[in-house]
Amino acid sequence: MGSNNIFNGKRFVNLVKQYLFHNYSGILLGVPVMFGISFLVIAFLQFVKRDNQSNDQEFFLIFVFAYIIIGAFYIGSAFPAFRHKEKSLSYLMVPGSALEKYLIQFIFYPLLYLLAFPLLYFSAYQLSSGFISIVNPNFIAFDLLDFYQNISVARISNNGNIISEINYLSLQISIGFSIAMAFFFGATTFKKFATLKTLFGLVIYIGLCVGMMYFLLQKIGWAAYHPKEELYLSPIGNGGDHEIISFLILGIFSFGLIFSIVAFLKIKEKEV
Amino acid sequence: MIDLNALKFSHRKKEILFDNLCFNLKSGSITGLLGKNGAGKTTLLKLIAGMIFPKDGKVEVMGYTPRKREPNFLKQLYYLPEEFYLPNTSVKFYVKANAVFYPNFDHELMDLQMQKFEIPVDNRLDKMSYGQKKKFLIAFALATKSKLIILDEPTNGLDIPSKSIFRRMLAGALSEDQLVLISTHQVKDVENLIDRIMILDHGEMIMNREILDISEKYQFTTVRDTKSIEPLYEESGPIGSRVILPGNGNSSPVDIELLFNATTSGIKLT
Repeated sequence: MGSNNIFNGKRFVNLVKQYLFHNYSGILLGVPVMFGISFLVIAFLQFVKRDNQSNDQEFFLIFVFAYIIIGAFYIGSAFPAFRHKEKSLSYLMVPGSALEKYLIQFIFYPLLYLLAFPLLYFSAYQLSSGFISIVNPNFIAFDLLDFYQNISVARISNNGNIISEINYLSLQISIGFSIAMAFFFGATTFKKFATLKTLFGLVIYIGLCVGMMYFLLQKIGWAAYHPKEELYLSPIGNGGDHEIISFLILGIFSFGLIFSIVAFLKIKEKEV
Repeated sequence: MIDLNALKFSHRKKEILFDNLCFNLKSGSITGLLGKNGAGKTTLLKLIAGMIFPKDGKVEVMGYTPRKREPNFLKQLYYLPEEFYLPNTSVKFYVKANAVFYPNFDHELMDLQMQKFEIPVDNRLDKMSYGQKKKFLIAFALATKSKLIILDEPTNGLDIPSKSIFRRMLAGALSEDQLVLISTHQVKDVENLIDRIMILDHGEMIMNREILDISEKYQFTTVRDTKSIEPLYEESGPIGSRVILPGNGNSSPVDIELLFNATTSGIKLT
C-alpha cells in the first residue's frame, strides 16, 4: 500500500535526515563561522571606539545591514541542486513529494537564517561586550537588546502617561518573511546568480511601484486631495495606528506568501 | 509497465524530436535502448522518469503519470543518468541516508556488489574516481530492487573487468517483476545481456522486439563469399562478410551490432 503522495511524516523525517547526512559539515561549520565573524567585527569596533558607547547605535545598523546582505546571499543559495543539471536530476529523483522537499529547503534556508542570525549576532555582541569589559574596566557598552526592545514597541504618551502601545514585532516578521521569500523564490527560478538576479528584479519592481505612486500622487493629483480627518484612511478602518499597522502587516505578508506559492509551483514544474 | 501513446516532444526552440511515439514494455526483461548519438535516448528516459514533460500524448509508468513525480512512483523507480552527482559524504552515510526511501532495498546485495566491484565501504564518495562512483551507483541501483531501473550509458567509464562484472551482476540480481531499461550506444557492452531490443533513430522507434524472436527468425553469421547466398544485410570485414540471413528454421545468437547497423541503415526486418 502506498503512502500519502502529498505529505508523509516518516518520509519527511527521512528527508530531513538525508539532508543532514549530506550537509552536516556545512551546518556545523557555518554556525561557528557566523558567530566568530560577528564576534570579531563587534569586538574590533568596540575596542577601537571610545570607552562610553552607550549611544552608539551603529551596532544595530550593522546588524540590520548584515542581516539583509548575508540573508540575501544565503537564502538566494537555497535549492543548491538547481545550480547543476546532475544535482537537479539526483534531487528530483529522491522519493519525496514536492511539498516535503520545499519544506526542508524552507526550514534550512529562510527559517533557519531568520531565527539563527539575530541569535548569533546578539550572543556575539553580549560576549564581546563582556570580553571588552574585562580588558577595559571603563568600557560602557551600548545596550543592544534594550535598544531593540524600544524600537519594537512604540509608546504613545499624553502628559507623561502611556495611553497606547504599538508592537512592531509582527511588522518586522512580515517584512523579514517577505524579503526572505523573494530571494527564496529567486533560488527556485534562476540557475546562476540567483541572488543578484532577484535583487535586480526587486529593484525594477520597487522602482515601478515608486514610479506609479509618483504618477498617482503628482500627475493625477492625489497628493492634493486632503480628506477630512474622520475620512482619513477610512477604507482601512478607523482603528487608528493599530489598524494601519495591521493593514501593512497583512499587505506585506501577502506579498511574501505569493512568492512562497510561486516558488513551490516552480519546484513542481521543474524540468531537467 | 511502461505505456507511451502518441507522445509528442520537442526541446525548447528546437524541431520536434518525438512525434506520435508509441510503445509499451512489460516487466521481467532487460531491455536495451539503442540509438546513435542524438537519437533521443536520454530524452526518452527522462520522459519515462518524469524529469521532463511531454508536449502532448500519454506517458504512463507502473500506472503513474511520471510528470507528477509522486513519491509512490519514485520509490519504485531508480534512474541512473550518464552524468550524475554524488554528495561529499562517505559510502556508509550515503547508503544510510538514501536506502531508506526504497522499501525493497537489499543491504546484503549492496554489500555483495560493493565487494564484487572492489569498492571500500569506508571511502568518501568525493575521493573516488568517475568509474568507481559509477560502479557504486550501479550497485546501489540494483540493490534498491526497484520495479523499474533505468540505466543511461551505464558502461561508460567502466574498465573491461568491471563491464563483465556489471553484466553478470545485472543478469543475476533481477526478479520477474522488474524491468531494466539500459540505454547505450556501445552495443557490444549489452550483447548477451539484454532480452529485448529497442532501436531509436531520429526520434522514431524503428525496432522493439525480443532477442529470442529475432534469433528464431534470422541467422547472424560470417561467410567468406556472399555470391551463393542472398543476405538481408551484409558488412564486409577482414575475414569475410558478416551477414543477416533469413532463419529458415535455424536460430543463431544475435549479433546486436550487425542488427543495429542493418536497422539504422533502413533494412526492414519483419
